[in-house]
Amino acid sequence: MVKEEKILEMRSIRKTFPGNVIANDDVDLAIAEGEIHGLLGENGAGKSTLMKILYGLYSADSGDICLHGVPQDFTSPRDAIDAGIGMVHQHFMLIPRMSVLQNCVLGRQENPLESPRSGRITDRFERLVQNETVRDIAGLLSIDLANSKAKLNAISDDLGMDIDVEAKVSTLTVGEQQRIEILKALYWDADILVLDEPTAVLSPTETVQLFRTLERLVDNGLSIIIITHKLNELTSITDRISVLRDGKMIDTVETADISERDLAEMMVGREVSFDVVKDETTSGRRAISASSLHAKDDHGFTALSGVDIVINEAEIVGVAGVSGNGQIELAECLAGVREPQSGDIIVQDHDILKTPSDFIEAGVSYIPEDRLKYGCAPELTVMENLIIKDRQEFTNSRGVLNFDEARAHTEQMIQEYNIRVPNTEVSAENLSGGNLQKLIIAREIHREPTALIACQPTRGVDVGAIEYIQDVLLEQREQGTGILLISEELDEVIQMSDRIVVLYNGEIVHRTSADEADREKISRLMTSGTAEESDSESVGVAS
Amino acid sequence: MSSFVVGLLSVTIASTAPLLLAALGEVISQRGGVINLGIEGVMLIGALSGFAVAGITGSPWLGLLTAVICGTLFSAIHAFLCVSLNADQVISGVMLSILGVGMTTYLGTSWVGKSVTTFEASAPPLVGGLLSSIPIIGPAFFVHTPTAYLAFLLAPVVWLFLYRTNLGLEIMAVGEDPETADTAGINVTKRRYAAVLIGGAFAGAAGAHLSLSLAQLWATEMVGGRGYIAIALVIFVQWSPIRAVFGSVLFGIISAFVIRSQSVDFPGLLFGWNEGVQNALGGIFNPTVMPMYPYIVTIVVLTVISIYADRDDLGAPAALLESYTRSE
Amino acid sequence: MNPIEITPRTETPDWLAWSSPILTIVAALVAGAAFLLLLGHNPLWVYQIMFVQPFTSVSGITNIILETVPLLIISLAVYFPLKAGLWNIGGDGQFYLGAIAATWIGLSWDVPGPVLILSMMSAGMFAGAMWGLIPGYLRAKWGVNEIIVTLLMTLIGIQLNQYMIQGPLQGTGGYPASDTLSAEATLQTFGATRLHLGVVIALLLLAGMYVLIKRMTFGFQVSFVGANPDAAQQSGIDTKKVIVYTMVLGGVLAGLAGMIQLAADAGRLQAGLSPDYGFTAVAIALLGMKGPLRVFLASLFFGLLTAGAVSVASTTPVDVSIINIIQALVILFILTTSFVKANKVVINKEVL
Repeated sequence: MVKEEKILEMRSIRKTFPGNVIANDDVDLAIAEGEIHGLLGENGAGKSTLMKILYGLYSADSGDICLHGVPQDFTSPRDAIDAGIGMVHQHFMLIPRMSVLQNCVLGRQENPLESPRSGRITDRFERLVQNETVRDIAGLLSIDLANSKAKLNAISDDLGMDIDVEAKVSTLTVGEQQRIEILKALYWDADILVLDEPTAVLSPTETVQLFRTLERLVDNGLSIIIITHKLNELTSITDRISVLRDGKMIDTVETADISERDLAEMMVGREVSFDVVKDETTSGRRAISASSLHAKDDHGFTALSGVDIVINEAEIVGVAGVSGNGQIELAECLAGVREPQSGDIIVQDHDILKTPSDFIEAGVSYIPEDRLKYGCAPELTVMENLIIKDRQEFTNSRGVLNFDEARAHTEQMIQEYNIRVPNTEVSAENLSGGNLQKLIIAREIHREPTALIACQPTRGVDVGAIEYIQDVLLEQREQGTGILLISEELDEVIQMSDRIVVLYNGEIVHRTSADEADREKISRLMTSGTAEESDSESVGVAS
Repeated sequence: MSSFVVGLLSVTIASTAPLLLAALGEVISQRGGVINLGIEGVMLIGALSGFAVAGITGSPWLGLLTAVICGTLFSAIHAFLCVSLNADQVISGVMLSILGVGMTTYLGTSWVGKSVTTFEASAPPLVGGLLSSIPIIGPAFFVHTPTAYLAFLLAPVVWLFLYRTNLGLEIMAVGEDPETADTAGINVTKRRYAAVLIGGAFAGAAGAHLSLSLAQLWATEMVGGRGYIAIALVIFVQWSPIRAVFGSVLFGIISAFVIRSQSVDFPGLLFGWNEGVQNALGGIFNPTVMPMYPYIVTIVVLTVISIYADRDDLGAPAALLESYTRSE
Repeated sequence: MNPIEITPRTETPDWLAWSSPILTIVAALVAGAAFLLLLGHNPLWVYQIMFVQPFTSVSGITNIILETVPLLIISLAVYFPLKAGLWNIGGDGQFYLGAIAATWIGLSWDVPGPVLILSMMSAGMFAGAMWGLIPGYLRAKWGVNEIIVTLLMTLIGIQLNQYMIQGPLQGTGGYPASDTLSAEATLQTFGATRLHLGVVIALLLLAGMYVLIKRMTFGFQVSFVGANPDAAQQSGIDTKKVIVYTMVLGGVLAGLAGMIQLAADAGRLQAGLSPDYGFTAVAIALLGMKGPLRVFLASLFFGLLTAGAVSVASTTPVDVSIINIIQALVILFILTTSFVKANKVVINKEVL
């Protein structure tokens, strides 16, 4: 039941990161007591940053946070927790080896001297027990598990959760672990519960259960903030929704009064940033294809559930989708750096490929999303990073590397691809984002690949370099390379691609050619998996 | 034969004590996320300082106390390097061992060959008279030095500490997931220091047992690799204080065999058995071969843990060897 | 404001980068001097005997060179896996396995000198290779931590040596040592000096390592794996093969060092054939991270230290264990310098 009173207000929050990245640009957020409030936005829109500020992990450059009108100063997560803010993280903050009980009491230093049952002992040694140092030491050297267990069981029963608090967290399912996170927040007397992408790891049934729990919590007086990019779920459970885009708060609306279509527009935006001019080409035979691709992500969760995709020579296939729906895993499988659970990947007429080396030899090039982590060895020089994949070309029969040739080649590449470096010996980590990306692209494209997998090639790159990179990709397309382009910038996808697929929850939910692409339809598919408006009663999941 | 058995059991218990003490301390340290490969050096420091103070004051108890204090201070170097300076725990530990060997060899030259007031083996107070008169078991298990009793008594205490106190719980938390612990308001630095220092205290006591109870002398490098055995032991028993008792007894038996078989005609005992069996047993129980066993089984255990790495209940504390800095 | 403020650096200033090994050694020597002072010795006098005196006689210089030989080779055995990001703490274990194998061949084969020597070398290298293969394979296949495994294998190796010298390889006379090797099985010395073939071998290995790391494609792959194993994997490098090869080569080198010390210096298998060369090598490899040349210089420093300490022990009341103390101090200061290189430390005097 939503009250009038604002329990939480975040006013004019500003946060900038090094490199002039404005994560939060004068953001206002107000949460009414007893409501379920949705915080919607794409990856990089600033919602995680905003919540990390609320939670005490970051400090805002300017702006303030008020609880019940009282300004707060959080210097650490503990401050926020003590003030009544509980957070359920996307990657749970639980220790698998410990029990539920241990996880919940951790940090609270439950002191037997403080519990009601210790009456008799405390009376006897009253004077001793009054001393604060004695209490502290007693707290450290003992633990009141009995009381805590009782309190925890009471909360869990109240919510209809059936949990064995002595069970080790590692034995619980993902859904159960999430409930423990909620239980833990309540145990710590949270008034406001913030959930970060809670349904990302849940099955549809578990999602329904979660929402029932949330409704119950609200009945008990809690206020809830849900951070997500999944539109349809928000509309079914929230009272109001705030939309963030590019660090700015776009608007806060009543859920009942707005359509999913409008929300999607607010979230994804309408601005067309660049005009890309594309020549007509005729795409040829298949360059690379995947059928029935199933894959897991690094945490062991399913990332791809049966993806079929074909990329032909001389075309760009764009993958539209919000980050986290399986894009990285798709790229990694096609590039040969991730082993799929099942499914075939075929490059032209080659045999089955297994190792990264096989894929490289078959003519597959890869531009990874995380440049520093996977694309280069930051400590090594520009030259070393440039020639690593083609090292055999510079090696003679005795295994000696011809550095002069390598250097000449590097200098040529630097010229050709306009990479701004003083010389070939500079360490890769000293390059700007754009120049590092050009370096990687130079390496990958120079090989005249059959297929090129490009993952967020223009992200984090300055405007001038973006245009250059896009031109380079188009040129490769004309030369016959089949390109898979993954990008969060919907406009980039629409303008650069010949064909477009939409990836949602590990499945391809839509295919279209660029000419026939319906921007609004694609936006909705990206954010909710279905093109139709869903009922506010049901919880829509990808069709 | 029965005196051989009594002798063997008694020496086993006495040999187990230093391993157990060192291992218990290292369990706490590693549960906190810091491996201390330097306990060989810490034990030496404990052995020498305890011996020297016992010599000067005439009281082995003061010696024990000094050993514990010196062990704690010496391991503070490791704590500072690893926790505050985020140094590589392996290198720091190896350095600590070398430093300990060097310092004790150097400072201990005047104590070699001296004799001081040491701990005497006796039956425990009160119940001792009764218990020690039980045939075989009595003299084997219930006539020991105070430090030996201390080792076995501390095992359940360490268990209680880790699982039934807030401090213990917090130490385990910072060794599993320092980020989660930090978020819950736990001071990761303080807890890791505590884990390492407590480990050092135990190692110091282990050293004191060696010089004041077991060998009752000081000799250079007298710890003789027991520090490393203790580390192997911790891995072998999977970081459990209770299992450490059984593990150290197992490794202690090996130590005891090595010591005792030099004064007993072991092959003679098997006289009359099948020759092939005699040869095989002779090979297996060869006193220069046996000391290898603890290391070999530890490698096997480590490999098994790594093969089943995805099981959350097996394996080292998750954040072991990792230094922690809060990401802003 | 905190009394001590620590901020991570984004890049190390040049002056700090190249001077840090020197600063480290200076700091260690200063700390060592403090220790000596506390015990009533004159550090300058001690250091003079330790560092200057050996250079004043042919015998002294010979000692320096001879002490450097095993250190250099074993340091290369630590350095190469380190380039791939692996810790080989097993130098001593591989050393002893090499010495054991070489002893066995040297005592039991009756073949002409050069053949015997070559066989002993091969045996030493092979045994060392096996001792390096085990941790390498375990790490490549199952990710077993090679630090602990190599450490344990060193302890096993030392014990194996004990077994051999008290058992199968025990010589006549009942001592825990093997028989002395024949003249055929001993490494040749040059002219009237005590310098032996091992010196040449060590220098050849140094040159070989230099070429391998700096010039060969495989060495390039190794460096890349050490710099970023994920990116290396994605660039088509077979990281598992790199892990195994580097650890095996480390074993080969350390095993060869064992053979050399056996056949040139000791003349027979005995306890203490390696006075913790393996651990010293760790410090040397750390000091010499930037390249084989630096490894060479660091080995020379420790060789000097060892040779000097022997003089110090025989002419002053200072015990020979002063080497261990200085070694440990060097490592300690390597760790602190490492921290200072990565972080800026500002002491705010006003607050203190």
